[in-house]
Amino acid sequence: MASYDGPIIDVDVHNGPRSEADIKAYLPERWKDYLPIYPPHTPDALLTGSFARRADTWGPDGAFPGTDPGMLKKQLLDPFNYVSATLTHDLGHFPGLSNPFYMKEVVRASNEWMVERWLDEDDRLHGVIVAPLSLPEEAVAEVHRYADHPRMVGVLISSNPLRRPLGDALFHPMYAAAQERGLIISVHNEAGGVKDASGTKTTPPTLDGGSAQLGMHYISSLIVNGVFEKFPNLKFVIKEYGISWLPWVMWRLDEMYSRLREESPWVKDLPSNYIRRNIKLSTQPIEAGARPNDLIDYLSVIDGIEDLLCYSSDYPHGTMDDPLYVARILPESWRRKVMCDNACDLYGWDRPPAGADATPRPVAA
Amino acid sequence: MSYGGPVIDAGVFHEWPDTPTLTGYMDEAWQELLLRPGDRSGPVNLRGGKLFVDPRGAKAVAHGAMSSSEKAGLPGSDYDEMRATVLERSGRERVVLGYDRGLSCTTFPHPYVAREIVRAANDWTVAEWLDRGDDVHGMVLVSTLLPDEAAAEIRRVGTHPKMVAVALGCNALARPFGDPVYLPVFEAAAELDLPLVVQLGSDAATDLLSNPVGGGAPITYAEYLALGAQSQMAQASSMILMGIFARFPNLKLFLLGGGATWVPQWLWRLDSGYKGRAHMVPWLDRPPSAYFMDHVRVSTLGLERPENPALVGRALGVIDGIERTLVYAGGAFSNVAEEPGEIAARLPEAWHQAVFHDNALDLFRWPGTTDDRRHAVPASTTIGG
Amino acid sequence: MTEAQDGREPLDAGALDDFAPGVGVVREFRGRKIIIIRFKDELFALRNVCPHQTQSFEGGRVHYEFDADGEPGQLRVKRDEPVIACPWHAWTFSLRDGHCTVDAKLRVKTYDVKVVDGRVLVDEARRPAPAVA
Repeated sequence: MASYDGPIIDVDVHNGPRSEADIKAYLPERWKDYLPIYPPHTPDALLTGSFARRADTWGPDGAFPGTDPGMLKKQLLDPFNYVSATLTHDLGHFPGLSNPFYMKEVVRASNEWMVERWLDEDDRLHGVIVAPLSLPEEAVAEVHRYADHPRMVGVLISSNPLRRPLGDALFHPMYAAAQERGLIISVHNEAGGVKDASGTKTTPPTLDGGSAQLGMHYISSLIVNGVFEKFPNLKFVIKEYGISWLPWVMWRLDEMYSRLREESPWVKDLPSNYIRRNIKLSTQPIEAGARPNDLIDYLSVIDGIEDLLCYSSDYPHGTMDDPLYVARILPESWRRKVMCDNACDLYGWDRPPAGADATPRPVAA
Repeated sequence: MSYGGPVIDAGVFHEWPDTPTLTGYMDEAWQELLLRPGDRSGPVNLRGGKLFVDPRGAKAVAHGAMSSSEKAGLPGSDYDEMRATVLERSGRERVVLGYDRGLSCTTFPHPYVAREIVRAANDWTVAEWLDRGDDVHGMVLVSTLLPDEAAAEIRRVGTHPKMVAVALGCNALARPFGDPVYLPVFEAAAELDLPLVVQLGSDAATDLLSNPVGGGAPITYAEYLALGAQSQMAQASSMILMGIFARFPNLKLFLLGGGATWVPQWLWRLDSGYKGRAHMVPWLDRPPSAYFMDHVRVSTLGLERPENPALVGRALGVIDGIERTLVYAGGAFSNVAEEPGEIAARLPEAWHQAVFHDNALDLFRWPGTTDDRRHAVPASTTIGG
Repeated sequence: MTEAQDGREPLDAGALDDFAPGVGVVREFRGRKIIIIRFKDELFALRNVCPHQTQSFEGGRVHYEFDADGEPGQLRVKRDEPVIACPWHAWTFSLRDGHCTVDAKLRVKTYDVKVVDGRVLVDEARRPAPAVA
């Protein structure tokens, strides 16, 4: 079986600064020496080695993984047929800084840094805007501030200082701004301080299997709060929760359709229809069953689920999925969609023409 | 597709009609405290608070202050009604009684009151239900607020031959059930060979620090019903990963009320998380999914309902042998009850006998079961990736 | 399983001092990438392809296998059973026989390594591989 050689769009690549100073350079003078912008390290609860990064992604001059655009090109963009990679910070938790006066400046500095130190490096790189989520009006302003950049494609939600499920009305002004400016919302694990049910934030043994629960609830929350009725053109991509849970959520929410309609004036269509129109999932960490076909068999109980999946690597984290591995385990008819075309639909891009050759980059809509 | 064979119902929900019914089983001092004769507020509501109220139907009234005037008509409170509607009319071979709206009594904030409530509930269950019918069985209800007291209650009541399981109640301590703090509870259950029951709603009582659903409580009851199985995933993960089944090889866990079609995706992600983090849980000698196959059973109560019912079996079937982990629970007197025929229509016929009868036979400690049950469970091989 | 009687030379992978303890070194042997690892007084060699997503083991940490026979809460290691953790998803593989300690279906090919006159020599495994679990 030939390896996939079509174009690749990767919707989740993590980039960071060589040192805090790189981002702090964009701060106003009075904040430059205040506090670290990355909070002090929390305990390495999962006892992961290598900073949870692939051991081979350190730069030649000791650059920490994900901090050297040259390494990114060398290890990801160039060896694979990359048309686009979406940079989503590593992990962009600046909105969680507790002093809001400082926080909003750091957020803005991080957006400046993204533009100047990354997006200008390579046309294949796209970025997301970090928003000061605990300040809804400022969040709107920040979205507008960077929306014009041709390679900013979305707004990042990777920390959630309000701890509200993402459909909450507090987020709606920002959603309005994003829709108005043609940006998507990029929701990244773990966009919430509270992980899964049962209080397991304090118990390492969920071993990452539990955090997908947040993703599931965010979907129901978006639907129940009418986000897709109010903002029908706003698209969400939900990242790094895996994909195998999606059929169960679509079944469950549709099963509860009549109850949802009674409890919310906003649920006018089947939940699965909102999901089909407005939500995509990134594939990483892609699951596997005992037999090669198990994952696809399970996913396929939902017709057309392949239209909802967008390849992501999660480079340079150790949990990343190699692009050719993902392409290989997908059915032939799904490959081009998952590896490229669904992301084009998500971002509002033209799909590259069919064919195995490297293709021109998609035209931004 | 219907089912005409024998049925064991692993989940019929019985309720005490009012506070005096339970305080009748307590000693004088507790009666004085909880009945409050002559007080305007009436007796203390022993049921505790549920986080969600079903906006539909009469179930919504069974929330808030209880009084003796509620006795008439509280679903599941009348033995004769239960016998007539569940056992006789529906032809169940035997039933296991559990608690629906009563489950949150286990979180009564005063831990000694919680202890008294469950003790009275167990005595009431024995006297007014289990002793009245050969085919009626129960679960020892415990409050995990005080694990040592819970262990004592299991040993006190769990020797009754008609008690066939232990209901862990709600997650009152907000430590998931695999936490070592609960070891006394599991030791007692293992000693008496009683399986544990974790129910939908165990993380959905008021004032709990845990969450019914990831990311905090959802704003609607519908979302809670849709996603509530998440707490079962989290609790079962915790018990498997913290080695409860490695430590007590004869223990089993029954997940009641959350449906089943989420199992494959949960097992896959549990296994892949384990594979990269086995150093966190070195006492596991095989992947978590193998422990699931051997030790965990999942009810048909709440079984998912896609438009095409045949897809349920197809989705479940990606896990080899999953049919031996499914156990029918009718959920009588709850708002999600389903008769065997409705469940049968969503499962392959070849699974029916196991699901409606044989798996339950294997799971619970039925009267007359010998010590042979207390054997080490054979190890399953890996099923997930 | 092959014997060295095929007449082909073992690989001279370098001087013993080239191999720092616990640091895998990648070489090519008969057209295949292998990784050579020095652990305490022993040397091991595995095919340098992780069966998960076909990535290299280079950079993966070498450590003792943890012992599943302990009680929950106890941590014991098997000091004679080194494993390498793939630098991607950290799945662990025995250096002795290549079996994956977290997935019984997987095994990586191993090679014989010996030191002769201070040189590390790699050859096809002489002994039959143990049966897959």
